[in-house]
Amino acid sequence: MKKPILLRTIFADNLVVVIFLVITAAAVPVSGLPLLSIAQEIVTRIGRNAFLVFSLILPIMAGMGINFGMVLGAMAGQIGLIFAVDWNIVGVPGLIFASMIGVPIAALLGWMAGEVLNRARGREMVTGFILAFLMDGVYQFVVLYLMGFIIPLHSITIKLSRGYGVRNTLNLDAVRQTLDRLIPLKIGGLTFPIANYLVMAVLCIFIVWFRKTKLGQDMRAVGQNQVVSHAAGIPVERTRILAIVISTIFACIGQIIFLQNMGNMATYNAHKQTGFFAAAAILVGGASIAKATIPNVFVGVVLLHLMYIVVPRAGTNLFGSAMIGEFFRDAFSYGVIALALVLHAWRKRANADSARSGLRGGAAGNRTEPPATIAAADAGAGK
Amino acid sequence: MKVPTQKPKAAQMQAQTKTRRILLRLALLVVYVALAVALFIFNRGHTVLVDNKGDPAGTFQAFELMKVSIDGGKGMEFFKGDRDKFTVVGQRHRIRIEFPDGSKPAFEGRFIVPLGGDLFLLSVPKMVAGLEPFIEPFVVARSPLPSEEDALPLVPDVPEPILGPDGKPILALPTATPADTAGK
Repeated sequence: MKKPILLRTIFADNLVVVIFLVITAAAVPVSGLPLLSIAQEIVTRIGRNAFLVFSLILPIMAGMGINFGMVLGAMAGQIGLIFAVDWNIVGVPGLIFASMIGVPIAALLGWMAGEVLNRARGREMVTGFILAFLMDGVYQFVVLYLMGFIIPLHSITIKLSRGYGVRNTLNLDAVRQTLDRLIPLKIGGLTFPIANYLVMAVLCIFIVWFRKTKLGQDMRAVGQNQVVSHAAGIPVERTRILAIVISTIFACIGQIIFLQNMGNMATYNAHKQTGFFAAAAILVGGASIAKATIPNVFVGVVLLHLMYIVVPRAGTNLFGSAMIGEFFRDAFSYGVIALALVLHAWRKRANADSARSGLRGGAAGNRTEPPATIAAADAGAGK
Repeated sequence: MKVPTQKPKAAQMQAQTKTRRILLRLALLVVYVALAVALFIFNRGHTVLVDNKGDPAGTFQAFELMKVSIDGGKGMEFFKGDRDKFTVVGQRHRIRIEFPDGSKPAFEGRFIVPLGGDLFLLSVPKMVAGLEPFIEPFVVARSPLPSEEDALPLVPDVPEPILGPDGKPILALPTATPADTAGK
């Protein structure tokens, strides 16, 4: 029998989205920004950030939660960009060249991360987070000491004055906004970076197709229940590693797209917040650590960046200080991650309690998902 | 007579599959590397300094006024003694030189930029006179770049004084000394 759709259930299922909508809707008029400029910013930021957020979908599908190890892919992308800038490969081919350098590094790092995460089953997110810190140290060592010393650097303009190591900030003039400007389209005062959107469309098609492949189905099965998947002959560990490898490669390409839009690169800091922003976006979009879809990515990017655009200005207008606006922005972004994680844990426990009471013959009044999904969520969290 | 068993056949097929897989992967690797090399060769950017200066020894003379465009791009005007830069992509290029004063017919030529270098000097009077080499690597005698720390502004942070209701400062805040900033 079909369950009636309750407004309360919809509200509870999309609590994070609703909270964000309320905050941003309240902040838009206070910010005083014209709607057209907000819309232009959103259009640009979708093209800039969505690819990075997409990289989180596959690990969630494979039951590994949010891949905070995507930072590794971002580092690989930055290494690719350093070489593209060093050799002055210009335009979109420069981006492709950077990707071609970055992707093998990302695949290698992703494979390493996957191996580590397989040994930390059930604690993938925190392990990925710490792994990113560890690899940040390795990245700094490579870029600050080995580049120009052991790894040859050609251009004097990107080297530190001491003769080795890469400068703090790189000017990405050779590739700046080349993808954004490749196919510009103006509609009603808004400029759409069509090439960016086409790349994203290809990625969406890939994700939809991938879900239907044998590997995609295996990932979903592993995400639902690893023991059953293993019994069914699915190579669970390999499948999980592949999910992380693909995610890391996407993060590499996503970081390159992100940085070409920004036009410059903070060599030692640009990757650090990547995982955090992507995680915040997908959670704001209504995803959980057990389920994420393509619409979650778009809704999340739009809402999170709408907040990033309007809240600092609203804070400035309300309190006369830009700093307070920035505090708001940070507090809301971190808060939403915490809220989403707490809500997921709470919902999971409520469902488990409800299922248990159902088994004992009691009423399963609080259940919001069928028992199979509950088991899947449990397995997805690595239990 | 010996009857062939299934086992060697299966093993043979497995070996064939493995060889095919390795070959396919190698081919993909070769294509990948070839693509990267092609991108490197055909999309490497170079800076060409176009020069309109004569030879002090009098072998060739600078032009009073010329308009130069490279690869059909935007033209640039050069007076006698001028030098300006063009950014080119790839190795082979076309150059068109026009003389707005009508002193000479337009000149079209081709030049090749070596793959390795970043900065080249192209002497137009030399090129038009048919003298070689009209394009040469240009080496900038640089002083060492300032370090990142040096590049930072040296102005010490001066906090704003806290003003009282009468508009006069009620608390004089200490300003940063040069020793403070040096110790950062």
